[in-house]
Formats: sequence, structure tokens, C-alpha cells
Amino acid sequence: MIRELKIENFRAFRELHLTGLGRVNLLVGENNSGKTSVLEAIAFLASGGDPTALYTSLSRRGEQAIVEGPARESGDDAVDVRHLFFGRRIGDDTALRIHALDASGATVDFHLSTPRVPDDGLPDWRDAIAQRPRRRAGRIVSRVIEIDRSDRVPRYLRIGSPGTEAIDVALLPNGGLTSDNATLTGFDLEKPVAFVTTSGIGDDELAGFYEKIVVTSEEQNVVAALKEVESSIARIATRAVDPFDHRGFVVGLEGASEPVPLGSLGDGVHRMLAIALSLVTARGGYLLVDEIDTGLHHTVMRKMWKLVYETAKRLDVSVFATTHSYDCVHALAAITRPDVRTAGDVSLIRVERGKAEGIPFSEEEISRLDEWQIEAR
Amino acid sequence: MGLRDNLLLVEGKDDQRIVPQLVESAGVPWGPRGDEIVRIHETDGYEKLAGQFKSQLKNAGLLRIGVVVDANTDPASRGRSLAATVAAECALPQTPPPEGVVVPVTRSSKRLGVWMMPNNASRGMMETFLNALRPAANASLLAHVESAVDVARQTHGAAFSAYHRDKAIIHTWLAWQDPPGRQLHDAIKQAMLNASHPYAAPFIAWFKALYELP
Repeated sequence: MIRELKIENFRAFRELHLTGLGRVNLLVGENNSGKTSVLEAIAFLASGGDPTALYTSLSRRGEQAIVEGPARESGDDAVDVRHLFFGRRIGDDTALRIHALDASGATVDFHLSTPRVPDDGLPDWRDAIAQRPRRRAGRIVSRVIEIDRSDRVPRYLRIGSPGTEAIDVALLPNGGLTSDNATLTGFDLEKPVAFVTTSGIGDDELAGFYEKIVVTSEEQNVVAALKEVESSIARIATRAVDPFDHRGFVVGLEGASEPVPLGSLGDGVHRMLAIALSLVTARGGYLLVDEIDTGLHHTVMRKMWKLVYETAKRLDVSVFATTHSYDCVHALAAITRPDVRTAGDVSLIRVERGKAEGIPFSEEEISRLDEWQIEAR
Repeated sequence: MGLRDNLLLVEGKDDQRIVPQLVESAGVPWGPRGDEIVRIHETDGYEKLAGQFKSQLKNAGLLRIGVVVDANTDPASRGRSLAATVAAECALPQTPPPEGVVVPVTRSSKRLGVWMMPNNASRGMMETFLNALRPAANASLLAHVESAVDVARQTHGAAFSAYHRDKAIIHTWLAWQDPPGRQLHDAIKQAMLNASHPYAAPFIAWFKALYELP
């Protein structure tokens, strides 16, 4: 479980230091304060330095790069890695760093830099790295490097972690990282990560999650979670929704003879299903939820936190979520203990634009937000 | 401005009623209910006040936070305790100046103020401060109240502790006014206690400086 997180030169943060983190962490702050970037940093940490995680987070935000040169013929997509770096600048001395400290004192530390492809050593370097996929520290290094004829400096992405050999990933001359190169490294995820964005998770993907837990003890827990939002739900099932075998959900309601599509029950049920299923999927790893309150009525917020907390404890999941909602923040008191003044299981952190230190609230403080009329956001 | 921006923490319910009356009687309009210039939280004692003080510094909805505490028997130790409470956010002077403390908290762009009753230096409490606002005209009555309180305790077994002598004095004195037995805030309102007394001026000046009132 991460207790402390330090981010340098990553996206909106020249520097950000978060302390007092726990099992369930809620991030608040103004728009553009960087809450979502914190979730991305954790996703990257949890991936064990997998460039696919970087590709995914850039792609999720629509930060594409134009694919140029021979790579274009491959039909591959690319993302622009410059967006990962503070000020969107990459250069010889630019490196970003994500560093976490867990409860046992162990650290995870990743550095990302974009060194220049050496002028003179280029053919050899290209031979060594570009033409022969090979294993380094048990990982395959990407193979395609495009050399630009213009004055742009060709660079590659170096992912390093102290004590292990760096992984180098080829970039397009414009800083583009192709999905092909991002996935060539052949990582096995070190810890499972479920990322629930503001738009949620598509039914097809959710159905895949659900089919893995049908007829396990977790199925009951997921249905129980849905009943918190819509008490008439008796059971749910997946089924094909189109000729292309995309999956969706149907719901059996108490006393009704015909199932109804999940979509007819409203956003709250869908959000709760995404959260509950993602928790199970993230067993032993991380659940990251952007704007966790989306679609949920304020009266369900306390129940939602109880579900998240209890499931996260049972399945050993670390949860990081963001919100703008007053009710969502104040409902967090449903899972806090008023006597915990230092780092506990539950934390609330305000991230402020341009400030290097996040502002942590203890469980005691979260419990008293109402009484003391404290605006945490 | 007002409820959203300004907060004052006080130790007890009496203080919560006394401070607005004191300020208003000194000529600073407190504002109508729901639109007061400052929101006051009473914390039921110093320990809880210190706990909430620290947390309120993180309140994104506040610009100015003040505390009014009793110096009690050891003003220096109270000053050190408050300084330690907020040390992570800002540096309070170890010994408060006679005009009270107003300091900026640069990290959160807030102003923070501390007033230690009665006058940032002496031992005592809110009632010590209020005793000084009694009219001096009838000096023999003031002297008689003090001696009556002392005799009651020393000779007749009155139960109050020596530490609460100033409380006993002001309530005894109020018992002998016309009408007898006004509550403290009411006594200020009725001008039995004079909010415009020179002794109160530094407190009012501190209050206006902290909350940036005209």
C-alpha cells in the first residue's frame, strides 16, 4: 500500500508530494489541478514501468501524434510523449520521475527521459537496439527507430528504475510513440490496475469482467452493490447485444417476468456496476477512478464508500479516486474513524495547482468536515 | 467576505456570545444573522480549539482565521503551545506582542490571528478582560466585590477555585447591578461593561486588523 508519492516533472507537476496515503484515497482540487495525472502516475507505477501504461494514458486523453515515415504504412497509431513532461517539453536534460514509498518502507522509482539518438554511434546503436529485438532485464526492447532527415533531433524514450537496466523505446521523430513500439516490451503487469474514467467502462469490457466472476462468491457482492442503488434488482446477466458479439447486461427485477437492459436503469446503476466489477478485477492491485461520483445520487454516496472500502480491504485493493462533489467528499466520513489523526486507512488530499505539497486530511478531520464546516475541495 | 471567508475559534459558549457583542458595542457592525462578518466556532476547551485550529488552516473556504484563547496561569506556555500547533504552516511569535498576533500564511494565502486573554501578556481569562471594562466611578464597590469574593472563599467555604477568582468577581459584581445578574454579553449590550474602554481598544484593533475591517 502506497504511503507517500512523489512526482517530478510529470504533466502539470513540476513537483508534487503526497503523504498520508492509505487504502482508500480521495483526491480533490480545482479543474486542471492535476488529479487525473496522479491517477496516471499510479497506473504507471503499478505497471512496473510498462510503456503500454503511458501509451494508454496519452491515448485516453486523445494526445495523439501524427504517424510519419515508414511507420505510417503499418497503420499504427501513435501518441505524443511530450505531453507527459512538465511544460510539454522534452530535451537532453528533461526527465520525469515517479516515486512511491509503501508502508513497509520499500520504494518504487521510475525515471523517464528522452535522450538524443547519438550522432556518430547511430548505425551501431540502430543495429543494437533497432534491428534486433532483445531482452534486457528480462524485457524486450522495441525495434523500430525512424531517422528523420530534417533538423529534428531523433530521440528515444528511456524508462529507468534504480537497480535495474533501463528499457529503451523508439520514438518517431516528432516524439510519437507507436502502439506497436509501446507493446513490444512484453511486460506482464506487476499488479492489476483497473482505471475507471469519467465516461466509465464500456459494456462489452464490463461484461468480460462479469463473466469472470459469475457463480463465484463475488457475484453476490456485485449484485448487492447494485441493490444499494436500485433495490428492486434481483440478478444480472450478460448477453450478446449485436451480431458482432458485443456484450451487454440485462437485469432481472423483483416481480418482473421479463429482463430489462441495464441501460434503462440509469447512470447510477451503471457506475456502481463499473466500480464493483473493477474492484474485483483489481484484486491485489489498484483501482483508479476518475470522478467517482459520476451518475451517483448524493444519497447513495455513503453506501458507495462503504462498498468500496469493505471490498478493497477484502480483496487487498488500493483505491485512488477523484471528485469535485461536496457530497462525495463529506460521505467519505462513512468509512473514517474520528480518533485517527495520522495516516490511516482512508485519506483525503487536496491537490492545488502550482503547489508542491498536497494537503492531506486525517481520518479525524474527514469525520469532522461537517461539524467544523471545512471546505476541503 | 463574511461567513465564507472569516472564522474565529473560541473556547466556550460564553465567548461565542461575548465577542460579537464586544465588537458591535465598540462600533464595528456585526451584520445581520446569516451575513455576519465572522463565523464563530466554540470548541469546548483549549485542547479541542488547538485541534480544530490546525485543521481549519486547510479550509479552502477561508481567508482569515482567528483564535481567542485564555492565557490561564501560564501565558508563555500557552503561546508556545499555539506556535507548535501551527508550526507546519507558519511561524507564530513565541511571545505574543501586546497588540496581538496577525500573520500571513504564505502557503495557503490566509491570514491568521491569535489573541490571548486578557492582554497577551498577563495571566487570566476572558473574565479578567471584562473586569477591566467595569466603570471605575464606584471604586469602593469594586473593592468591596473583591474582598467579598475572597472572604467568601477563605472564610465561608465558597467552592470556586482560586484560579476562577476573576469569574467569581465579575458575576458577583453583575449580581449587584440593576437589574441584577445580567449575562456577560448582555452586560456589554446594556453598557454595564464598557466596550469602548481604552483597555478593550487593542483587542478591537486586533480584530479589525485580522479581518481587514474598516
